[in-house]
Amino acid sequence: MFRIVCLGNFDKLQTMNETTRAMLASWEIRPLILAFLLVLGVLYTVGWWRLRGKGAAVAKRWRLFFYWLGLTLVMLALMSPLETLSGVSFTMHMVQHLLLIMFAPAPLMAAEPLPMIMWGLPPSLRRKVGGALFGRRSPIRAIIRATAQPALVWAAFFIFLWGWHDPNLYNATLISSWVHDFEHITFFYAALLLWWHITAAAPRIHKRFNYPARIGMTLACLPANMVAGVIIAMSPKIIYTGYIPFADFNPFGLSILDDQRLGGVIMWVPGSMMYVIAVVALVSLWLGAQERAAKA
Amino acid sequence: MRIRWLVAILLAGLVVGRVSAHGCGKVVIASESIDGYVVTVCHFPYPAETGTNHITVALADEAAEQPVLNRPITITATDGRQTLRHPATHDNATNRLLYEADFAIREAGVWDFAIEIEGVARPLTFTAAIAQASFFSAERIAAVIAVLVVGIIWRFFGRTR
Repeated sequence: MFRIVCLGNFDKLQTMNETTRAMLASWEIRPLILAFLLVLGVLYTVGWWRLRGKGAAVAKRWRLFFYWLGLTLVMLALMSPLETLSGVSFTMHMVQHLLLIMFAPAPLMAAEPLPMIMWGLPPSLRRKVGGALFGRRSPIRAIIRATAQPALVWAAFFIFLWGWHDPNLYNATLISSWVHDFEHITFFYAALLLWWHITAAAPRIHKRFNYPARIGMTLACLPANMVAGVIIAMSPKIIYTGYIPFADFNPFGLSILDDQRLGGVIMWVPGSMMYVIAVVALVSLWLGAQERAAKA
Repeated sequence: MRIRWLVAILLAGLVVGRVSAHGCGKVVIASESIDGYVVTVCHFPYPAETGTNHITVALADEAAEQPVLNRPITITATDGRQTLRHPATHDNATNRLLYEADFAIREAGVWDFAIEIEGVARPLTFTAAIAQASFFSAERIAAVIAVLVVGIIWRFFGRTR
C-alpha cells in the first residue's frame, strides 16, 4: 500500500518536473535586444570607469551594480519564461510588468545612466551626441522637456497602467506580439520618466524637485497600482477571458480566477511596496541632507 | 566609421528584430474536449496573411487538468491545390508547454488546417482565410523604419567627422 502511494506520488512528481522543466526552458532569446542591453552596459561601465579615474563623486560602486541590475531585470522581463508564460498566466504577466515599471527603472535611473553613458563614448562623439540630445536648441531636448513635465508624466503613468488593464486592450496583447511590445514600451518609457523625477537623475533639463516634492510624487503613484490591484484581486469573475482556453497551463496550477486574484495581489502589495521603499529612502536622504546642512 | 556601422546595424536590427518573435495569436479552436484531452489551437499572425504562419497547439489531459507533453502531433494545411504537412513540436514553440508548427504560405486563399494528435481518433480542423500580405505589412513597415533609422544615424554620425 505504502509502495503504491509512493509510486503514485513519484509519478506525479515526475510529471510535475517535466512540466516545470518545460516552463523553465521557455526562454525567448532575442539577440538584438540582448546586444542592445550589452552595448548600453559596456558604455555605462566604460563611462563609470573613466569618471571614477577622474575622481568624480558620481561614479560610485553601487551605481555600477544598480545599472547592471536594472539591465538584467529588463533582460529577464523580455526574454525569460516570464515573457513566454505571460501568455498563459495573468500572475506571470503582472510580475513582468512590475519588473518593467518599477524594479528595473528605479535602479537604472538611480545609477545616473546618461552622464555615464556619455562618458563611455569617444570624446568627439560625446560632444556631438550631447549637443544633439541636450543642447539648448536641440529638438530632442525640447521633446523630452515637454513630455517630462511631472504632472504629464504622472498622468501618462496612470493612463497607461489603467488603460492597458482594460479587458479588451489586455486581451489584444495576448493575441498580438506587436500590441504586447507596444504595451511594454509605453510602460517602460513612462516609468523611466517617472523615476527620473523621483531619483533626480541627470541631466536636469527640467526643474529639479526638492525632497518633499519627490516624496509627494512617489506617494502620488501609489493609488495607480494599489487601486487597480485591489479591483482585480477582489473581482468575483474572470476579467481577462483570453486566459480561459489555457486553464490547464497555469504555471502554479491555479484556476484562472485564482491566478487573476494572485496577479492582482502582486500588483497591489509588492507593487505598492516599491514606492514605500522609495519614500523611506528619500526621507532618509532628506534627513541626511538636513543634518549635513545643519553641521555646515 | 566602424562605430557608425555598428550603431546603425544595431538600431535597425532592433526595429526589425521584433519580427522574429511572436505570441500565440488568435485562438481558432478553444478548449475542445476530445478523447480525454482538451485542445486549444492558435494561429499567428492575426489577421492571417501570406508568409510564415505559426500554428500553436495546447494539449491538456482532461481528467488530470495538466499539460500533455511530448505527444506526436502533425498538422496539415491545404488550399486544394497544394498540401503542406509539418510536425508540431515543443522546440518550435517559445512556450515549451505548447506545440508549434510553422508553415510558409505563399498563396492567398482559403486554407484548411487539420491537426492530428496521436491517441485522438479524428483530426481537429479549422479553416483560415489567408490574405495576401499587404504592402504595409508589419514586416515592411519595420523595414522602412529601419532604413530611416539607418539613414538618420548615418547622417548624424557622418557629421561627427
